[in-house]
This record gives sequence, C-alpha cells and structure tokens, in this order.
Amino acid sequence: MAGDLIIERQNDFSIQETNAIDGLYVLVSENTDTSHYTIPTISYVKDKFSEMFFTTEDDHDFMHGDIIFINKKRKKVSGVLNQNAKQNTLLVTERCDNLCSFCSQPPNARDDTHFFLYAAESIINFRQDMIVGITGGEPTFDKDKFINFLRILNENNSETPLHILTNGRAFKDLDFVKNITELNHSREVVWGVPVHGHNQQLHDDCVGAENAFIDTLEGLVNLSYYGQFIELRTVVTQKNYQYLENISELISTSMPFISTHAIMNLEPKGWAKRNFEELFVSPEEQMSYIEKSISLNNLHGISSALYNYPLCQVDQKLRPYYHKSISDWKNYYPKFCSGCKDKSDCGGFFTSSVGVYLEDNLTKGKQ
Amino acid sequence: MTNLAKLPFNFKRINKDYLISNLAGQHQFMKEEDFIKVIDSDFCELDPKILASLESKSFLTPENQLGLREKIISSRLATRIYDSLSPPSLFMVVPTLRCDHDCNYCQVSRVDMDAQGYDLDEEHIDNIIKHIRFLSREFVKIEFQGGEPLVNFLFIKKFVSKAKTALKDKKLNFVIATALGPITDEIIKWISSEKIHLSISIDGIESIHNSNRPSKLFNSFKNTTQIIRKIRDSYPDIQLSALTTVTKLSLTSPENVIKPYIDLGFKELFIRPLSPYGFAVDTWKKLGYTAEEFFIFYEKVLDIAIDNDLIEYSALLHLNRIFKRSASHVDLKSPAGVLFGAVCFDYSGNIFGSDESRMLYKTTESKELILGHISDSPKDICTNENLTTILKDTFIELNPGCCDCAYNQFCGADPIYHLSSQGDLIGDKSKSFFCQIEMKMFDLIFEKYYTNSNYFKKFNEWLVI
Repeated sequence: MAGDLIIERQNDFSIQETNAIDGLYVLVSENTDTSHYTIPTISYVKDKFSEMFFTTEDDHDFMHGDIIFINKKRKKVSGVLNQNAKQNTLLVTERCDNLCSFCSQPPNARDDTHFFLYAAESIINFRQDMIVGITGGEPTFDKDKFINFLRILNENNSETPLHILTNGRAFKDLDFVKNITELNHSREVVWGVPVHGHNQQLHDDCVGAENAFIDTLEGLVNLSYYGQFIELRTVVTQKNYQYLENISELISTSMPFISTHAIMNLEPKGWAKRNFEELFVSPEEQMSYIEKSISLNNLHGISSALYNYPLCQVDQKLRPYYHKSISDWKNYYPKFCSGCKDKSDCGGFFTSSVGVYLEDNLTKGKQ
Repeated sequence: MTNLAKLPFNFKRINKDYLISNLAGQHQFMKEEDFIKVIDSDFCELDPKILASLESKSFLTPENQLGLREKIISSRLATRIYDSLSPPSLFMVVPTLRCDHDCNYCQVSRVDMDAQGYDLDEEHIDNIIKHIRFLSREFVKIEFQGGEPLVNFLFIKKFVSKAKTALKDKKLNFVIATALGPITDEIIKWISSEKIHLSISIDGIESIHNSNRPSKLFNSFKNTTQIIRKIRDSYPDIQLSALTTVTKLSLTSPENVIKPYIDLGFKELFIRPLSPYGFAVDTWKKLGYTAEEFFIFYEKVLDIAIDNDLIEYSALLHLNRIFKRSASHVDLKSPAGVLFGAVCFDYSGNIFGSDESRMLYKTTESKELILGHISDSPKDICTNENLTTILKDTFIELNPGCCDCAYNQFCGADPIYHLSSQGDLIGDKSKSFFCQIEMKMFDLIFEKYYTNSNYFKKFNEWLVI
C-alpha cells in the first residue's frame, strides 16, 4: 500500500552522515552570523564554515533558518518549523485531562517537560511571522508549565503568533485566563477549543471525561471576558452528527463571540483508528446536518469552516466554507484523484486513512 | 443524567402556537402541546429534537449546571446592553427646516420656503465635525435631514468637502434625505461624483403619494418618478433607497402602495407606520389608524413584496435584531438609542439624541430634550444630565409592561415616543401605539418564519445578504 502514497511534502529525511549529536538545530547556510541563536546551528554541506553538518541524498525543501531535529540513532532529520510548510505545529505535551475516543494523538502520562522546552527553543529561534500551532495532549494540563512557556517566549522577545489547540477546561480558572492574556499582550493568539456536543451528556461522552462540558463552556465565557480569539472545533462522529444543529444553537446562546466554528472530519489516526467502526460516519451522511448547522451559524452571524474533508465529498453549496486543511505532511491523493480538475483546491486524504476507509468508502468520491 | 430544570423565560401566544424567549436572547417557537409539556416539566414526553434545542438555548438545564447557565445568560445580557451603548455611527445634520412639500404628516414641523431663521449657519460646520470626531469610532454615516436639505445645498456641499478632509481616517458615508424637489442636473452630477446615497420617499401611486405628500409648487409624484428614472438612466451608480410612510389612505390599497416600487425596479422597500410627532399629532384623526388596521395592510404588503422579490426593510431590521442581535436600528435598542443610536444637529444649533427628540422639541420646546449646543465642548454632551435622565429608565427588562414580555430582548425602549404620546419616559405600555405595533410586528415575523416555508426561505435569504 505504501507504494501508492504520494505525500506532498516529506517531513522526515534520512541522514547519510553527520557529526551532530541528537537535538534541535537551526539550519543555516554558510557565512551567516549565528550569534543571535540560542541553540546550535547546523549546515547540510560539510565544509570549513560549519562546525556541524549532515548530509542527505533525499530531496528536501529545508531552508536557511528552519528548525530541525537530528535523531542519529534512527538516522533521521525531521523538520520542526519549516518556512515551506503551509502550517507548522509543535507538540508541547502528551498529557491530557480529556480522553477523546477519536484522539489522533493519544495521551501519555509520563513526564514530558522537554517538549515545552523544545517548542520554546524552536519558536524563539525560528524568527518568522508565520503562525505556529501549539498542540498536545493538553497544553494547559500543567498551568505552571504553560505560563512558564509563555514567559520564556516573552523573555526572548518572541512575538510569533500562536494557534493553540486546547480543551479550554483550565480556563474555568479566571485568574489563569487573566494571567495568560497578560503574558500574550504582544502576541496574537487564536485558541482552538473543541465542543463536540450540545449538552454535557454528549460532550462528556465524546471526550471521555466527566464535567468537561461545564469546564470548557465556563472557560470559553472566561476567555470572552478578555476578548480572546476563539476557533470552536467540532469533530463529527456517529455520536454527534445528528446534533450539529444543536451545537450551533449552543454557540449562539453561549459563545456568539467565537470567530469561527470549524466542523471537522475524523482523522483516522491514533484512537480514532482503533475506534473507527463506532465513530466513522461518511461525509455523505453528514452533509444535510452540516448544512443545517452552517445555515444557523450564518443566521446568527457566526462564520463556519469545514476542515479535513476531501473536496469531492462536500456538497457544492457548502464549498464556500471548505478549507484545504490537512497538513501537507500528512495528506495524499489516491490514484483516482490524478485526473481531477479540482485537485489543486482539495486537501486530499489523510495518509493515515489508507487501508482504513479508503477502499471501502471512497470509491464513491471518484467522479 | 441529572434532572432537568427550567430556567426563567417569558412566553407569548401567537395564534395557536407559543413563542418562548429568555434573557440570553434565545427563542423557541413551539406547538401548544409542547409548550404545556415544558410548563408541566414533562420533559421526557418532548420530541428529542425539541428537548435538544431547549437545552442548547438555555431554556432547560441539568440541575448541576445552574452556575454555568447563570454565567452564560448574564454574559449574553451584558453583551446586549453593552452593544446598545457603543458609540454612535449615525449623525444627522439639519441644514434647513424649509421645505417645498406640504406633507400632512410632517413630523418635523417644516416651514415655508421663504421663512427666515430656519437655516443652519455655515459657521457651525467645523464644530459639528469636531463633535462627530469625538463621538464616533470607525464608521460614520452623516445624514442630511430637513425640511428639504437640498434647499440649503451650498451648506451640504461645503460640509461634505470639509468632513472628507477632517474625517479622512474614518469610514465615511453620506446620505441626503430628500424629496427631490430642488434637485438639478448639476446637483445630481455632484452627488454621483461624491458617492452620496439618496434616501427618498414614495408613498404609493400618484393619487396616494400626492395626497400624503402634496407640494404647492409641483406634482410630487411626477417629479419624484421622473428624477428617479433620470438617475437610473444617467447615474446608475447613485444609491437610492425609498421610504413609505403609511396613512389611513394607504391602508385602502396595499397593491397601489407597492406598485411604484415594482414599476421603478426597486429591490427593497421600507414600510413605516406614522409616528405622533409634528403635524401628525394634529392630523392623527384624519391620517391615523389602529395597530390592527395597520397590520391587515402590512401583511398584504409583505406578501406582495415576497412575491415580487422585494426586501421589506422594516421586517429585515426586526429579523436582524432577533437573529443577529443587531443594535443598529435606533428604535429597537435597550438602553434606548438616544445619543448612542444617533446624534442630531438641528438647524437651531441644538444637539439632540435622536431625530424624534428634535421633532418633539419643535412642538413642545421641552429643554430636557436638548443635550447641548453645537458650540459646546464635545465632552459635555456625554455628561449632560438630560442624557442620563432620558436613558436611565430604558433598561427594558425593568419596565412595567416590558419585563414579562416575550419580545423584550428584541424590542427597544423608546422614551421620546412615550414622552411625546403619554408625557412620560416609560409610559403605560397597554396604551402605547409603539408597543402595539412592535408586538404585532414580532407576532407576524415569528409566525411567518416558523409556519410558512416560503417566508422561512425568503427571510433566511434576507438575513445572509
């Protein structure tokens, strides 16, 4: 099956030779002043200017100033923050207080403080205006660590805009919200917060945690007190697709202050892959419910977005809301897409969907 | 699952159905049998879809969420109040009270063309602009009102030129509310080049229009339609919107009221009931009607508008208030839209908090309506005692007659109207024509939206344009 994959942008490359030890580096071309970097620099051509180097025979699109991670044992170099990427995302923790049945990045309780450090170092040294995504686990699982992370960014004068995926539960603590909004004073932040159900029963069931609904809603209202930008996210599964309309009602009642309501197709990865049978509902079946939800959002002056859908499975009238959203290092186009005229507008499929639902469900999309 | 509990709501019977609404500004239209199940707390008997809506909209809540719901509802209520108190964007300037029309219902008590002392002096222009700069935020709409503002065209021309320079950092729009009497080719050309919007009046076919809006100098209907055609042909870029004031005569023939709009290719119309200001107070017996009579007429007009793909603006303003919580319509605001909805710079140099305030002042000379003078410092307007006196009792959920009304989150407190009609800023709502009109308007809109699929479709289209 792997031979069928055409990944738009390769994110890992094999190392031929390197003198570097494992860790985070700024990739630099020769003859550059490297004194302002707080982490070591590396070049990919061995020459007299570079103390550290690696060589690779893979085609790659790394550029000067990109942040990379060297893993000598696996003979891999991975892009951490890449100027050629459509979006860059950093994982800051694997710990989480929700246990979503469709989690694409299942939690892990081990101590992982180093992720925050890597993330901070990466952002500080990337020095681009590009928005950087922060994800977990739950980034605010340990409030002190999260505050510390923002402090480190501030101490290094980083103003990189951040898109932070959080379940929002920690924001029920108003002092915490006050604290972080002060720390984000010079930084644009969009909070991506999930609401998967119109009521506690459904939402708590989707996220596998008691009282998550109450915490998240209270957190959202608290964020609004501080005028924060919020992108609300709903992952559509068998459990909630018939209630999308009610989620829109909940939004207009409780959080009309959000900037976008993102309706997201399941990413068949992590636990979502394990629970696929009981979670998956075909985009075809989702469409009429999505349409009702989006028209209610429109009615209330709330903007909507569709993420993670292959374009051909989205009804024509809903295409204005379509976003080509699958990260470029995890999407691909099956063979039957090769002749499609809309391919350049389409996000394609998750690479992780290979073997999961592609053969069974997607031949329908062939048009 | 914990038990569900009811959160506070108001209700209103609309024919056989019920509308319930809460302080979060949400509503649910329901059949009587479902309404009774809610009242009786027979929640398990309800259709699961209705139950889901009621919980989503904070009409019902699991008992463990009372704190959360209180927070949600109070946050929504606070937002509504806050939105109503955001700085004004509409500024009305009255260059003259002189007018070439002789409308029986003239609400501003216009004066004859040769009357002396009714023009706004050009020396005030800089001060007015100073006030606008101080009071506004990003968006500024300056509307020239009359009398017939074009009678003092030189004032308008000078004002526009100065404002475009002095307020160039704002998003500036100009409107002239005109009956098109004194308009010349030269003025039309200027209006087009300055991108000024025209707000005109068409009350119906010739017999209705000329009876409502007579002029001693010309045939108003012929003049209006001729000029509209000329503008459409030669200057299609000029934005034209038209207003219909409804009199007893109009009620007899909804078809003939709407006909000129269809003939002239308008995409929208704006039906407005009469208000008891100016001459309309004295002529009410001759021109006025009951709210019931108005709505027999209005419902027919709305049907014709929908059939002819015309947007009826009055209904749209109500829909925007219901679904989008728009605070942009001056009449549907609580706290009231006085100053925070519009500011009016009168020909006399007085500053009022609404168009109606200056209308009422003209007939009563009540100094309490004046918020300041053009020559005052702009700061003083906001701290004027009259302003707080007028606004302090316009928090609608506290007003008798409004506090238990199902429409209170969508409606507005109109203190100037009630001062005019009842001599009291709050007024007895059971006798209020304003209240009767608004109640019936909301009844009609909710009923049409939820029981007539054609209306549902059209209203939704209007709302997302």
